Amino acid sequence: MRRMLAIIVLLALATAPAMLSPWALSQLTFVAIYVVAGAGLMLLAGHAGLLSLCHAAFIGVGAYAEAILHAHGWPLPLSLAGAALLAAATGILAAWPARKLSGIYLAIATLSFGFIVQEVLMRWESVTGGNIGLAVAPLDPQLLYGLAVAAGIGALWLLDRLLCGRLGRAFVALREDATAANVIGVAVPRVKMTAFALAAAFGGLAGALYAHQLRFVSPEQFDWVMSIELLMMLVIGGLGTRAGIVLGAAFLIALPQGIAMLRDTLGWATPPAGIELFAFGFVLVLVLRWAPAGLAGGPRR
Amino acid sequence: MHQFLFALALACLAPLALANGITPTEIRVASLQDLSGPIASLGTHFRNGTQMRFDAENAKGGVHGRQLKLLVEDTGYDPKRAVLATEKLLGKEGTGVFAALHNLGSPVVMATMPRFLEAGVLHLFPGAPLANVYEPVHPLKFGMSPSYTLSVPPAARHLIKANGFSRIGILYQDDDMGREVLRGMDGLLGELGLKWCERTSYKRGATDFAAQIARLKAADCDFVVLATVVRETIGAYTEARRTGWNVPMLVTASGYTAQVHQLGGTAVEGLYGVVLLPHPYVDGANRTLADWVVQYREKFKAEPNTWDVFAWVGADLFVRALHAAGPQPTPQKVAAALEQLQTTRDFFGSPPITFSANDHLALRQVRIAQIRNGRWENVTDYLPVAR
Repeated sequence: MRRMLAIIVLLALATAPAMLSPWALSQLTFVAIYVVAGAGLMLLAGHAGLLSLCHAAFIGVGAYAEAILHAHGWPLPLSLAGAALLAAATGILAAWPARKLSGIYLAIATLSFGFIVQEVLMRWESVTGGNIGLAVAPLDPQLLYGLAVAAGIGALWLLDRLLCGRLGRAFVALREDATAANVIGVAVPRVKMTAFALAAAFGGLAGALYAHQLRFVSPEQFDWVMSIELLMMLVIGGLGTRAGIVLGAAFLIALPQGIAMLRDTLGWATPPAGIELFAFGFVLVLVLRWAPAGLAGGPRR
Repeated sequence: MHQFLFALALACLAPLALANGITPTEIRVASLQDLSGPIASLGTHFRNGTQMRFDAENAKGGVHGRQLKLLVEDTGYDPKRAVLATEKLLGKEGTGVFAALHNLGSPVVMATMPRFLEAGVLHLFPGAPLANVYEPVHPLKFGMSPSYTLSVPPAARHLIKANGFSRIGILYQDDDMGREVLRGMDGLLGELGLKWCERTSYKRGATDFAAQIARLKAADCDFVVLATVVRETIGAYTEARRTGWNVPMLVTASGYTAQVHQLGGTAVEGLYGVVLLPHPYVDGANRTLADWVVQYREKFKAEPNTWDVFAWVGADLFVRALHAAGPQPTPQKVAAALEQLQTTRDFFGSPPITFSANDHLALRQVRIAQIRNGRWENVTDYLPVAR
């Protein structure tokens, strides 16, 4: 049954470019990109229990790395790998204060780290273009869609593999009780660093694809609001579940579009300003009330 | 006979040959606004001002019989939402809209402008003070406001020369806006043979300016440029006055808004501001403007401000060009008509506007206003902006 469902989904994803409008395809591309980023954050926050508020910084580093490497003529596979690696290195830096912190203290430390990365993107004008940002060469929308979907599926598969293995068990042990994990032989600082590096690499790859999708990067895009948005996406989807990442991403991208379509059908001459955001917040609260464990967790019993 | 048949065939095909976003009865115009994000207070006015101008034209029967339909999408200042909204508006082969008017917010404009232009859609008068929106010249893109680098120096030069100031200081927001002002002022001081007396900055969102004002005061500046927005303008100016320092200050166009004197009260009396387009005060207004304000209040249950004037003037330029482009307009014909336009001062008191084949920026003049008796009063006529 599961295999059947997977085949149907893969077929639908494969035929989407031929069937869908550029607008719908673009939404699917965004969903896939957010799945890649969400897989990284899920690993960190959902499985290793490390509450990070700097995921946007990893995405930003990946986006800028791709913008710059691509502009310097690097072939796409190399520039994407470079973006992921540079983000992973940033993740290791972010993990440095995390070695001894957890919970709300870690959240604040990572939030501060995100500010530092954003400052660097703003100040290092000769490389990043400063506040003005950088234009990014477009990719063929169908190629970008294919890359994003492949990266999304790959990220989910990798997350699955990781969690089945020794490292995955170490992450869960760390989340449940760091002291106990230490006692049973988990090298806590190293595991934390690995979690951050992996999560950042996922974020960096997502950022690289995001840069091509947006065709423009600027520091303000990668602020703490984006980090919160990603956390919200995981909570809505269902923390700790792979399906939750996909459902959360779809919710985050498609719901505002659906609300805007619904607004258009109401035939307002001048719709009330901000009605879409109001409706989005309302649906969000309803969903959490109805399914506190997230969309993948099903309704409250 | 053959000629007649050929003409008949052409006439039958004519509706099929309509440009993107045009039907026999309407012209669809896109507008990406921030109605729920950090600059929503601007976005609603950009939307309202545009709608005012379109409604007036539609009430007269539209342009060559076609109604103007404004399709507003809320981006919340989020380029991701803006990209999706653009693709939705452009539709399947980019056939959805004829023009994009007053798209708001630098990241939104930077991410979406190439998409509109590639689809052959006019990109007109975005609310982003970036030179990229009018330079390098592209046949389909036109800008309204000059970048801060261009708009501040003429006003500062006038005040410096008229009053013999020599010790110039600046307080700037530490972002692209502040740096653009700084760049423009660097050029002006070089031209005048002056050096900075003091430069100091603040982070976006700051509320306390005591340290910066103390620094400017200690340096004994005799003129201070404020590259600030509303709240920071009030904060900095009132801090200076609170400490008994009555130095003349000039705020950039971002601070020329009625909110400054409405919120700042008597403490902001005497502040100079750079004016691109005037605030529509109803007191002392000419008859047309007074009627316009009444209509605006009735329609939107709100007070109009300078952003409505921006939107109205931009929409007016578009409507005029549409009329001039004839009954079968194409983006190229409208762009050519814009390049030929010559407007005179309108009922708001906006400056005359002209474009040319190699200049697609509307406002090439600024003037200086000063807060006197609780409102901005013009103190100079329009001063030319350098090219």
